[in-house]
Amino acid sequence: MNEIRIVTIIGSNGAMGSSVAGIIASFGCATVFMIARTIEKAEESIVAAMQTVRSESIRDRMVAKTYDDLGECVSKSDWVFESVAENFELKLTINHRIAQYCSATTIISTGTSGLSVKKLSEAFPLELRSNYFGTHFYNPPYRMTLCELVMSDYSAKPLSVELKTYLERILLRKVVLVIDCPAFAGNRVGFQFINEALLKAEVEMNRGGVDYIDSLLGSYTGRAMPPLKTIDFVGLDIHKAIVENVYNNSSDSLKKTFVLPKFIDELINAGNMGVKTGGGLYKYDMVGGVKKQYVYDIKTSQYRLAKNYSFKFADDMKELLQSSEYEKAYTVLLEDRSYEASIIKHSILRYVSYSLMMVGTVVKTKDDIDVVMMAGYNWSPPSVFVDLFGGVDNTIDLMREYGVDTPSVLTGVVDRGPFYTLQDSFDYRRYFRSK
Amino acid sequence: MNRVYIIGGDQTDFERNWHKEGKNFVGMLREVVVDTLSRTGLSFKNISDLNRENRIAAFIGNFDGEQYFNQGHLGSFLTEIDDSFFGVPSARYEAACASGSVALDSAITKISSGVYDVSLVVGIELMKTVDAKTGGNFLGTAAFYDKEAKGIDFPFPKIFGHLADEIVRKYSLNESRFLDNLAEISCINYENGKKNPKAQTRNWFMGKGHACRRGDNSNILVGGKLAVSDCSQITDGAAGVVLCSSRYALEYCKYRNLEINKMPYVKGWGHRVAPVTFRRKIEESEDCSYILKWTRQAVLDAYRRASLGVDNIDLFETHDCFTSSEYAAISAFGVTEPGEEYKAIENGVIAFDGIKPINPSGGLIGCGHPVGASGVRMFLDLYKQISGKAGGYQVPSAMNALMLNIGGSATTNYVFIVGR
Repeated sequence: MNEIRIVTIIGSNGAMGSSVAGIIASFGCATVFMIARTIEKAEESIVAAMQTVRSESIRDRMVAKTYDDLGECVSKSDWVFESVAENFELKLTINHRIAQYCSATTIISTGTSGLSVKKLSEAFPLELRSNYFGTHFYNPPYRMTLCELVMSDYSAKPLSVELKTYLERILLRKVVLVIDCPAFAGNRVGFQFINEALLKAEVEMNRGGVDYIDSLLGSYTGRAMPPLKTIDFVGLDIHKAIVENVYNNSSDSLKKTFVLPKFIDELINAGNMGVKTGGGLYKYDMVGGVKKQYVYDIKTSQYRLAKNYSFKFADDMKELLQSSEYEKAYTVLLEDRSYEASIIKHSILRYVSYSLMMVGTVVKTKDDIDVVMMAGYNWSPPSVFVDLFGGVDNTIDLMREYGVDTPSVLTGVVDRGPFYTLQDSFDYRRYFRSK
Repeated sequence: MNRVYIIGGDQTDFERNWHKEGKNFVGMLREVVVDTLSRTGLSFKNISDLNRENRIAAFIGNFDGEQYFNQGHLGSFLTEIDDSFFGVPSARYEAACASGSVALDSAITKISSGVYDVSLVVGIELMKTVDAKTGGNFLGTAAFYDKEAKGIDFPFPKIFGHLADEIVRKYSLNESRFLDNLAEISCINYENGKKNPKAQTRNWFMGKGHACRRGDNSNILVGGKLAVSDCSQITDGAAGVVLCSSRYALEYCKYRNLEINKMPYVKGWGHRVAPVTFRRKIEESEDCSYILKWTRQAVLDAYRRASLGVDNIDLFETHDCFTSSEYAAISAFGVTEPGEEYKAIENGVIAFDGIKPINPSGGLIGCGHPVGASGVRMFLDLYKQISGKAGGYQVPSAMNALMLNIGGSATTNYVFIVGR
């Protein structure tokens, strides 16, 4: 692989395009051609890139360009990163243009979050397809360090090793090799969990629905943000695109959990896409100088004030987590027989089960999926729940009790030591918040 | 005096924000104690057994628990972690940013004098409980508050900005070359921090171009010539180590089939206190070639006690609260003559692969600065280096290492030498 000194980013004015440009210009010390539709948008993307890494010193490394300059930029580049909107036809069109100008040694990658890398690579002549990869960064990349490196059937193995090394050592990414499948590993597991939480909210609409489920699956269950609040940040339209991609293009054993509830379509049609439109599943309003949180009530199809739910076992868990008593907190959950505790246990067991099912199919090892969920989602690694649930045997028993598939990674375990093995490099405890 | 061995220890991940996690001081103490014991292979039962014979004590270094999290009497809180600490003699030790070192000093003294066989030393600070400006005001109490900090936003960057001014004046340095040297110090620390999996800044960007652009919007000036890139960043964090006597070290090694001659031990120490205000320090040092004469003296004391000199030291961990303090430390260690520190920076002497690497861990700038924990964190890093357990930031074949931990504006100066 050539030393990466010049990079072209196509679609630099998108959130991911500018953020990744910031990473490449700073850590990578590379010259970055920033291609946007207009020179003004390209200039704006340079400012955004500087802001992502909080340094004006990288300004001179970035050059504003438009699509008119694409040929010249690509022909000079060691790496071309296409980061246009998540639209197959659009990406394919761009790839055809890139193919006209890149050399036999140019690395080309797409910033897709789940489209087929193999199909996208077919815009290139056969001899160039080996240079084509998916590089799925997570947002915002300065804070979320995961990069899923997607290999297609055409991708060259030695080149992937060199690219992985570059992404890890120079750009400080946590790189996990994933196979070319819908949503790859992180979004596959993450959106399964989130969408099933949505489906649970629909089932539980009489108990409160959205905010009820979020209060149960909050930060104390090992994530920075409750799952349904996360949808508002992602955007309801993006959520829909991702789950539908998995639903339509995979033969997933949990396919039914990727079905989008109808009320999400209704919210999208009403223009309530999440934070970017000022409201989605939640809305905020100032009432008498106080910020009030409203939530979409599935039962009435209206927004109402969000409730403060309180469950004794959850309060006890949060208190224990405050003083870092992780095992005791999860013993409280395991021993509680309430309906709410059972919802949490089912959700966590499903998360563990589904994550471990990715091993050998989408990622190579259990550690891979743990890294993906920590560095990409800011969620607790799935493996650690096996330890918190009393070890492999107890977890298998619980999975059977809760009707969750037992993955072969778990049933095949011989060593009965801690199941989570990355503690020296990833301290799992930070993901359990007392909130 | 008995030899004091180091069995091991651990630190928390300095990237973590405990306030955001909703966790308290007891949680941090629990994690660092559990991890420290786990690294050393000691159990709570071992603690109970040692305590039955009054052979163990604990020493908690902390600067400002009262202000940051409204809690004093921190020495008593090990009893919240496990019942085995009931009855274990323990207390909190304070000397501003050198709180960890004063705790270490007390632990070392109690072992070397034969009072106890085992000491658990913890440095701990929770700082993200308040905003930066409030925290800066709290830190002002490490100076002479009424004279140097009251009513001043971020007093310490300004004090160490004065140190930078004084270095330029005293040694008649070219200012732009000096500032370039300080930028290089910053870059080395950030670069080293990237090798340390528990460093606060391991994923942060720093480059010479950025460090030299002092005064732009992304690197604002905070104290005279010094900009944000010249500062260590406060953080939440704790570090713990277990020290022991020769008697216990023999028991420990025998039980684990280890060789005692490979176990790191404390070879020397120095402790000197300078006039509290920065102005008096400078006045007092006017006729001295060293800008921080008591810092230099603490280093000389440690060399003398260890019967070692700078030539014997393979690496340093220094108190780079600001780049100017590391600059002054270079000559205090004897790496160069005073006024010639720039040579060690420009010739790569203090770089990770240089002949006298400073802060392979990343130091306070790269690894982070939870003030009361920093002394113990440095000491832990000396232990890791000497025992070959520093992982990605291991200095090859390190035999002797020296740390300098300062409180206030180099008011309290602590030096330890660890070797094998």
